[in-house]
Amino acid sequence: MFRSYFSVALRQLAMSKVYSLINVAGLAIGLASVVLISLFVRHELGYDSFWPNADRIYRISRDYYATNGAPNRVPASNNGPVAAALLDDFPEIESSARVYGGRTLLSRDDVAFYEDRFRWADNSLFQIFAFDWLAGDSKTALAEPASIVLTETLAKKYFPGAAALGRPMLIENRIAVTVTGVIRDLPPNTHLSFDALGSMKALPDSVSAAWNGNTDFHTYFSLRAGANIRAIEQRIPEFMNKRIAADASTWSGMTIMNVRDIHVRSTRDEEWEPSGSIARIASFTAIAALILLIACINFMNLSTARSAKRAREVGVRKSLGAARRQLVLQFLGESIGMAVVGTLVATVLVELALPKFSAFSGVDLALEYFGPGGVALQLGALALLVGLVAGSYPAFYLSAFEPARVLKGEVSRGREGAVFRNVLVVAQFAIAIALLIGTTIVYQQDRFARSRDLGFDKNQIVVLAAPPNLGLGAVDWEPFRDEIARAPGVAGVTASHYTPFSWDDNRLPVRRQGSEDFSRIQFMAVDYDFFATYRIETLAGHVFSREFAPRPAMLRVASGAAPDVVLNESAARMLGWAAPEAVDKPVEIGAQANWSPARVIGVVPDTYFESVALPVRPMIYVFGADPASQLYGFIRTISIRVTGDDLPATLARIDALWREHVPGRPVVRHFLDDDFDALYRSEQRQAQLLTFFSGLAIAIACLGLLGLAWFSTERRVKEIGIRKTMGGAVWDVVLLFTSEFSRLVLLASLVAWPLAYFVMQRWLAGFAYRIEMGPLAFVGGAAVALAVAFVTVGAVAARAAAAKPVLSLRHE
Amino acid sequence: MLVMQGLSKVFRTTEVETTALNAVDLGIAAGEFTAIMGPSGCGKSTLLNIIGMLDNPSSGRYFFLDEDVAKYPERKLAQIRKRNIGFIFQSFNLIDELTVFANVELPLVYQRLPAAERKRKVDAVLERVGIAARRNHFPAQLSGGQQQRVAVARALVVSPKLILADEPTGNLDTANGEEVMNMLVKLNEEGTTVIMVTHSRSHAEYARRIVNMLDGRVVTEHVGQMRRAAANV
Repeated sequence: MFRSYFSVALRQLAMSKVYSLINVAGLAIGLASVVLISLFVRHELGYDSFWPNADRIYRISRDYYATNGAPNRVPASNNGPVAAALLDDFPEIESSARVYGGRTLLSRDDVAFYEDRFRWADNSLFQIFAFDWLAGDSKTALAEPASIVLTETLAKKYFPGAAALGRPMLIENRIAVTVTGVIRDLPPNTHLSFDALGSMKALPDSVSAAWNGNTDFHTYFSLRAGANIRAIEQRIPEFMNKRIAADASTWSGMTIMNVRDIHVRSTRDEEWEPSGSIARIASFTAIAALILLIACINFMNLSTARSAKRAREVGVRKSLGAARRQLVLQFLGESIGMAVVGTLVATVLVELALPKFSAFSGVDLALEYFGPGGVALQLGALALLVGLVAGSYPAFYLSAFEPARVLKGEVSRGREGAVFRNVLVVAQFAIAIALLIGTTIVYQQDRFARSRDLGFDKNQIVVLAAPPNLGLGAVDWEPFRDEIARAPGVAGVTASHYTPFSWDDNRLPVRRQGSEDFSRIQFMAVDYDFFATYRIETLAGHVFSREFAPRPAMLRVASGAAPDVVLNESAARMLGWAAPEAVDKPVEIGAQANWSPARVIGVVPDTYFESVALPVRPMIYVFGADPASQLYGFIRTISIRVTGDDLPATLARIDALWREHVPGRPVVRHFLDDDFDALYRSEQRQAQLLTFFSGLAIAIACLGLLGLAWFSTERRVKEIGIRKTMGGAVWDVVLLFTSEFSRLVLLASLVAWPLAYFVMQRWLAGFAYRIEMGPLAFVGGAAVALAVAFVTVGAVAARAAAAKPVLSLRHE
Repeated sequence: MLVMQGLSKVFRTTEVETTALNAVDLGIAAGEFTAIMGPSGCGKSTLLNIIGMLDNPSSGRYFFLDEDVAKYPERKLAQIRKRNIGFIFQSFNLIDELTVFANVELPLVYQRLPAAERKRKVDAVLERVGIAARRNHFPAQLSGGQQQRVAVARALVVSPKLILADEPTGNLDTANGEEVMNMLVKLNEEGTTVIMVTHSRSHAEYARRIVNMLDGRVVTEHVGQMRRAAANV
C-alpha cells in the first residue's frame, strides 16, 4: 500500500511540473529565509553563552537616578573601587575584575599603531573569563604592572613570524611592558571587546580611586557555585550606603546583569560595541514566521486548487475501500515529502546566500549540520512541521470527497474551497503588503533622520585625533592650529573634547545661582572658533572669541573669576530662561559635591549631535583650550573645515603639519560625515534587510498567485476558448482574470493598512524626531502588490488566452 | 464568400503526424446552406475550425471575403471573426457562470457596444429563439434544447454574415434537433450563409448543398433539397 502511495506521490510530482516547481520553490525560498533569520537570531541570542561558567558571570554597573527633570544616567561601567570592595563585602563572590580603556598608542621598536580596542584589566579577569591561552600563564599574566597580553591577531601584527611572548613593547610611548601572554582572538559572539590588555597596576591609583563621578570601569564578578545572585542584589543598597555615602542608595543604584544578557538586553550607555536589540530580534523572528506562513499558504492553496485533478483518485480509492484516515495519511505524506524536497533546496539556497548575508549583517554565520550546534535535526523537524501544517487542510479536504459525487464528475472543477483559498490569498497578500508598508516607512524615517537640519554643517569637516590621554597638551596646539588655519583649502580649525556623533556622555549638574534644584547638562569643552567652524549661529550674547577673551573653566590654579559658559537653547530652557534672558546670568556647576560659579555669555541653537532617535540634549559649552585649564588634556579632537578645493593637497598638508608638530604619533583622521553615516548604519541595515525579506514575501505570495492563476486558467480553459470565439481579445481575457485577483489584493490592502499603521506607529514612537505617516506608504504598498499581482496573473492569463481557441474548445 | 485552395492541416506530436486535411479545394458563395458530412476523423470539424478562423491551416490559401487569412495572426483573425461569424457547437459551449442574458450578450460586449444597445439586441434575439422567459437562468438550469437555443441566439445576436454549426443537433433529441434545424433554415432564408457539420443524413438534407469528406479530402458533393422543401411547407 505504501508503495502505491509513494509511487503516486512521485508521479504527481513529475506529472504536474508547474505545480511541483511552484510549490517547492515557494517553500524553499520561505524556508531559506527562515533558516537565515534563525541563524542570525541564534547568533544574537547566543552571545557570551560559551563561557564554561556563563551562568555565574555578572557585570555590575552604576545607575544615577534622574534628578530635577534631568534624565538618569546608566553607563555600562562602574566606579574604580567597586570591584575590590565587592570581593571584601560579599563572600559569595569568587573573583571580581575591572576592564577600562580605549584608543591607545602601542609600539614595538619603530612599529606604532593606535589600538582602539586596548584595555587595562585586572589579572583576576582571567579567573572569570576562560580565554584560550596560546602562550603565557593566566594566573600571573597581568599580575605585574609592566605586562601586556595580546590577542593572536595583534601578536602577529606587532611580531610577524616570531613568538611575541617575552618581547618588549611601549604603551603611549612611555610605559614599557613585556608581552606576558597571547590568547586566541575573542569569538565574534561576545560583548567583550579588546585586542590587548595592559595591567591595571600600571595606572596610578588616583585613576581608579573615585567612588563617584566618573564611571570608567566595566566591572565583572563571578559567583561561587550555588550562590544566589538575588541575595547579592538585595544587599547592594546597604553596600552602597556603607561604601559611598549614607544616602547613596537614594540617588543612585547598581544594576547586575548576567553576561549572557548583556548583548541583547543592555540598553546602557558606553557599551564597547553596539548592543543587539531584543526588539530587532523579535521583529525578524516575526518576519521569518510570516514568510513561512505565506509559503505554507501557497502550499495549501495550490493543493486544494489542484484537488479537481485528484478528486477522481480519491473517489476510486474510497470506492475500493480506503478509509479516510488512510487518505489523510497519504496526502500528509505527500506534503511532507514536498516539504523535505523544499528543505533540501532551501539548504542549497542558504549555503549560496550565507557569505553575502554574513558580510551584510556583519556577523559571521555558518550552517553546521552535525555535531554540537548542528542544524540537521532542526531542519528535519522544520520540514516535518511545514509538511504537516501546510498539508493538513488539503489532506482533510481532499479525503472528505464523497466517492459517488466525485466519480460522477460533480467535484471536478476545483471550484470547491474557492472561498477558503481566497481567504488565504487575502491573508498572504495582507502580510506582504504590511511588510512593504513597514519597509517604506522605515526608509522614510531613515531619510527624514538623515536630511534633518542638524543645526550645524557636518559636511567638509576633517577630524584629527589628538593623543587620548594627553589631548592638546601633546600637539603643540597653538602653533599647530595657526599653521593649519593658514593651509590652502582650510576654512576653519578648532578643537573640542569630542566631536558630534562620537558621543561621550559627560553630564554635569548645573543650577541657577542660589537654586537648590539642579539639572544634569551635557558638557563640552571647546576652543575658539568651535561655533564658527561648525557653522552654529549665535542666538543671543556672544560665543568664545579672542575679542572677548573668554575665561576658561577648571583652571589648575583657582583664579576666583567665574568661567564663561555658552548654553544651547534647551539648556537655557531647562534652567528657566528664554535665549536672550540667559545672557549674563550666573549659574553654578557641580563637581565632586562642590558648586562653582559660572557666567552665561551666550546662547546658541540646539544641535543634533546624536541620532534623531534621541531627543536633543541640553548643552553647556565651556572654554577649555587654555593650557592653564585642567580641560586642556581632555580636548582631544581637532576639527578642520576644508573647502574641498584640491582636497588631496589640503589633506597632505594637514598630515605634514601633524608629523612636524606631533612627532612619534600616527596621523588619525577621518571625515565627520563618516561618523554620521555610522550613526544610521544599523537603521539602514535594518531597512535593507526588511526590504530584502519583504521582497521575498511578495515574491513567494506571487509565486502562489501564479500557481492559482495557472489552475484557474486551466480550469476555465473552455470558457477562455468560448470568449475568444465570441470575439474576445487576449486583453479581454487578461482583464477578466486580473480583475478577479486584483479584488483579492485590494481586500488584502484593507486588512494590511490598519495592521501596518498600528505596528509602525509603535516603531516610530521609538524616535524622538519622527515622520508623520502619510498615505504614500500605504497607497504605495498596495499599488506595488497590485501591480505585481496584475503582472503575474496577467502573464498567465495572456499565455492561456494567446492559444488558438480551437485548442481550448477541444479540451472538452 | 469564401474560397479554399489546396488547404491542408497537419497535426504533429512527437510521435505521430496526422494529416487532418489534405489539399482541400472548396468555395462557398454567400447565401448558401452547406452541410459537411463524413465519418468521424475525416477532418470535417478541422475544416470548420479553419473556416471559422479558430485555427490556421498548415498550408494552402483561404480567402474569406476576398482576403487571404490563412497566415493571419490570432489577433487579426479575432477581429474578422467577431464581426462576421457566429458559432453554434454540439456541446453548446455556454459559460456556466453567466446567465442566459449574459451569455448572449458576450459577443456584443467584445464588440464594445453600449449597454443599452446590447440590451435591445439581446432582448430581440432571445424573443426570436423563444427563450426570453429564461433570460436570468444559468445554463445548468436549462434543458439541452433550451441551451442550444441560447447558443443559437448568441450566434445570431451579432447579425453575422456566416453561421458555423458544428454538430448542432448532436446532443439533442429528435424534436429539439428538428427545431434547431428549422431555425438554421430560416436564418438562411433571411440571407445568412450557413455551414454545418453533421453526422445526421436527415439533418444534412436540410442544406442546399452537401459536401462529403473522407480522410481529409472532399469526395463528393450533391444537392440536398428534400427536407428543405418539407420544412417550408
